[in-house]
Amino acid sequence: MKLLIVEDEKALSDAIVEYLTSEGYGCETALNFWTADEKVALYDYDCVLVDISLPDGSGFEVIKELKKRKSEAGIIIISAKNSLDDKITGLEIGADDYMTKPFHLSELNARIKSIIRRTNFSGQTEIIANEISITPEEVLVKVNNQPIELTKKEYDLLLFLLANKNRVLTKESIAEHLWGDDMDTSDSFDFIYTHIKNLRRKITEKGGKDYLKTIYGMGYKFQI
Amino acid sequence: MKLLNKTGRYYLLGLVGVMLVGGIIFYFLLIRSLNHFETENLLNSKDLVIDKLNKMPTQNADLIVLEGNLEILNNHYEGKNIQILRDTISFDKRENEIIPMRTLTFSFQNQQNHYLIRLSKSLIERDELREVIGRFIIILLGLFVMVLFWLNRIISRSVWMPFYEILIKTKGFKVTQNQPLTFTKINISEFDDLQNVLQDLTKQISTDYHALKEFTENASHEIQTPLAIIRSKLENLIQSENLQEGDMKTIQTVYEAAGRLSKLNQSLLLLTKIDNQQFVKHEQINIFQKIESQLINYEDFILGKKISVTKELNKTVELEINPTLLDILLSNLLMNAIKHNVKNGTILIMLSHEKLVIQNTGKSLENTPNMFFGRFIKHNTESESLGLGLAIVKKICETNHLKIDYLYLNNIHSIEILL
Repeated sequence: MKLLIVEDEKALSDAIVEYLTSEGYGCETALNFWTADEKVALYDYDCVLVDISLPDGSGFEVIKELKKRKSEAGIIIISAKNSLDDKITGLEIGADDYMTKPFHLSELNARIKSIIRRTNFSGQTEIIANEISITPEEVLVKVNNQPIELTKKEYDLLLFLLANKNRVLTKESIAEHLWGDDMDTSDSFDFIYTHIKNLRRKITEKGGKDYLKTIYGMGYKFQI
Repeated sequence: MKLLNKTGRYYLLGLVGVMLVGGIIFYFLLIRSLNHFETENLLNSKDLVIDKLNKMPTQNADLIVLEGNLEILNNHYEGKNIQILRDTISFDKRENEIIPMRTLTFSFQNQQNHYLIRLSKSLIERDELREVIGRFIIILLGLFVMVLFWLNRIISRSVWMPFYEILIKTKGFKVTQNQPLTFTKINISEFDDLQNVLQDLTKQISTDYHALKEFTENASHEIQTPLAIIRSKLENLIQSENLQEGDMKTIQTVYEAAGRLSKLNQSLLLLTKIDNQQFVKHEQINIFQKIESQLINYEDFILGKKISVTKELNKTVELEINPTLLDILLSNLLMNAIKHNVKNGTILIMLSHEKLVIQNTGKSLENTPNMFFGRFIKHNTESESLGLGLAIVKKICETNHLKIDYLYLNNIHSIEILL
């Protein structure tokens, strides 16, 4: 899986690369418009992250270039402007998702995975982690081939944890993933704990292993 | 008060003054002329009497015909020669009133007699004169008021027309729309000046406004990027296996602080954006559906606190509003009702075509409820919330012309929005 990260802020770009590389992606970066334009013309990517405001051009142009080349790459806009107009423009010209800075890397990772899953029709759509398997189209979760009943939030949580396996997910990133950006996160930590507890119970009841680790004070981890 | 009425009032006041003073001066001048004329008249009569008595010494002086009265007081006057002019009054039987008279008493000697004669003549009544002049002034004033009123209407219709057109145009000016006012020349220098000033002013305002808007956005951009770096780096850092527990705690604190800073920045930016009316696109939205979906999203919190929710919702209520803002409005209100609720508390949501009421049980309140619409005001100072939620709600209501009220009675908090 090859990704292109078009982001002019080197420190942020580095942080994204670090996170995504350890997820097993091959990451290339472009710190300005011209490099991005060149790379898009020369190589094929599975997913492209584009910052809208670049020092020498607009991220929208990069997206247009990709679409002109009939690229099948998933496109995620990462913008500091939480502007509805930008979002609409971006999605209209063919971007798949829009994220506002500052975002959680775990959230970014989950969205990349979901986009790649959607755009890769040839690949299998099932998400498998040992004895746990999820079929997103059917919202179906099985442990040792036995379906388990999850609430909507538990399902979302499991998917989010699996997208970031072996990673510490902060409580804040989980809260925002489950309840939305406007969430005053501190109120929700107890509920995350409850959901984790229920998930753990439901998985182990069907003979699954306990993969959910609590990282004291920080958050949770799906360790496989 | 209209400008023309105001000037009209001054004109009227001036006119009343001028008329009064003029009337008084006119009266005195008239009196003086009359006096002079009446005295002259008496003296003329005297000359006439003397003339006749000299020519015809035998004639009975009583028979001399004059306008006015002639009385012979004495035929054999023995005093010295006199001529006395005097004003008196006499009673007029015909008109049954007292009338002023002027008399001239004089002595005269011809060959036969030495007369003492009194000539008297009624004067024009001063009272009557004053009354006539007064009436005249009042009629004049009445006429003037009518003319002034009529002139004002004509002036305001024609001369002030361009002014009202300028006013209408200026009222239509919206700073968010980036369209400074433009006018066509009228060729009345005052109005042209006004137009030029307004044109320059609105142009300046538009430019400044957009510069400020850009600055706000850029500033937030500049803040969000470093925050994104801080958070991303920390997220990578916590993945490390060999962190001590103390390090973890430090990272945790920094991470949370960065998170709060980011939320604060976003909230303030949201307030600015609402203020700047940047949420322009409005849609007809069914409120019932929005409330239902928000309640589902917050289900965990409601269940967690064992809150019972009662709904009295009219399913057909629609509101024309920006969808993003409605989401923020409802989520802030519902989250508040959940967050500041007590265990086993209740929430009552009522929606009708007139109003939306969200009522919840909660802790007692020491401050006036409406204070919480201010920025950075919290129920509890140790709370981690920013204290911007209700300020944002208030701002959204203001920009959409909705009236909002926070009522509190016996631990029941109730927010009412008139739709």
